[in-house]
Amino acid sequence: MADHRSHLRNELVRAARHRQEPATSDRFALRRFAPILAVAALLVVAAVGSLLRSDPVGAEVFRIETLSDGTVVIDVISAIKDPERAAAELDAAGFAVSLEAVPTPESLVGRIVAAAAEPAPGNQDPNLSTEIDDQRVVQLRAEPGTLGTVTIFYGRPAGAGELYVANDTVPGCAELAGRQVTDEIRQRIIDDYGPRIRWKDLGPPLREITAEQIDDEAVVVQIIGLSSEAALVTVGETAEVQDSMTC
Amino acid sequence: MRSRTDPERFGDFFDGHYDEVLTYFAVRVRSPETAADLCAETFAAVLAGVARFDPEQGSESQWLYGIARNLLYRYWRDLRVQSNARDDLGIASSELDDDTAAMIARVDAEAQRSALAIALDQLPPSLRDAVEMRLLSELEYSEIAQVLGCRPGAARVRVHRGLRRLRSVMDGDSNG
Repeated sequence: MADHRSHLRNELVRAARHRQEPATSDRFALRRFAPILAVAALLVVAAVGSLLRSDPVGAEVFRIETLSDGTVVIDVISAIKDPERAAAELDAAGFAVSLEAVPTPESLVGRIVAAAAEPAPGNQDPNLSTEIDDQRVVQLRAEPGTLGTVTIFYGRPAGAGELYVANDTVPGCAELAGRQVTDEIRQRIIDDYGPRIRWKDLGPPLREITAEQIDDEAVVVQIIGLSSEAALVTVGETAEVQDSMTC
Repeated sequence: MRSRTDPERFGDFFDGHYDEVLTYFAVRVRSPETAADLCAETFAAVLAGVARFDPEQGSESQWLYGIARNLLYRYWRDLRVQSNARDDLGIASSELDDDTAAMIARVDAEAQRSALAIALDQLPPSLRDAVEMRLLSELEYSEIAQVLGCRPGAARVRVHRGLRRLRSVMDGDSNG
């Protein structure tokens, strides 16, 4: 069997013969590339170096950096145990960001579960948005001078009777907590379950979901597009986790 | 450039760049078969598209690696190697021989030993993939997001976090 190089060369030369055209140029030799890894290393070093020019401001709870394109990345480096102090940290960094506690499973207590941005009234195109990734880093995008309110939701222990998403009980599902809620899905849940499920009780931790009621105490929610299910439970009453909870 | 369709000259061109192009893919994809397949499709695409080469748009090397990069992007996206150019030219595929596989493995092993590769390997897979796609393959955030199945904003954050972690690793700070 011919080796890969020889086989490919022969096939290409044969194909070239079929496509042969008059030569018009003697230029043929191409300059050799620098070693690929050297180029790659330079790119990485350059990019890593650009981070050095970012502006870390954070203190105990948040690490706040402004990237070269103006994107603000808010990284939580420790659990939010003292909301006032954490809020003061954000204020000191110059961000109009507020903190709001929402009921969550124990594993999410003190951790960011969602973020939301609302432009100030009259801002037609505020270009203000937030997003959290699967490692609970909040990315805040805002044009300089943009007015609006940014709220970061973090977990607090759920009280008796409060609803929350038990998605932390399934490996890999915790990352789903920060997905955006669409109005359509919100309405679908309200239509399906009416006053029994109050949207404010579902709260920010629930994002792109559909829901199916199992019984009077439990509802299974489907995280759209990610084939994941989690049980919505009433704390202190039923904490039933369905067999179908997979990521 | 049109002279490249001269069979012998194209053969020389192939000889001068085969190792480089194979190395380009070998350090970017894990499978030797995939690297060899991408390499073959790159040269076939060069031959098939030689009439479109415009020296005013860039050097021949840039053009060659532009094709290679585009094929790599499509592979990242679709997780399959296209064969359009080879099909058009009627180029038969061949199985990867032991010598070439050993060469690719050697290149990959050398790449793995580089400080950069060692540092990259210490990143969580989701961050490493994002960094590699952004910096080595130069994908846009929207493209990275498509590959990773996340939003462009999340892809950007992953790259950012990956670079920060990478810097810590390369600085010898295990706390990253």
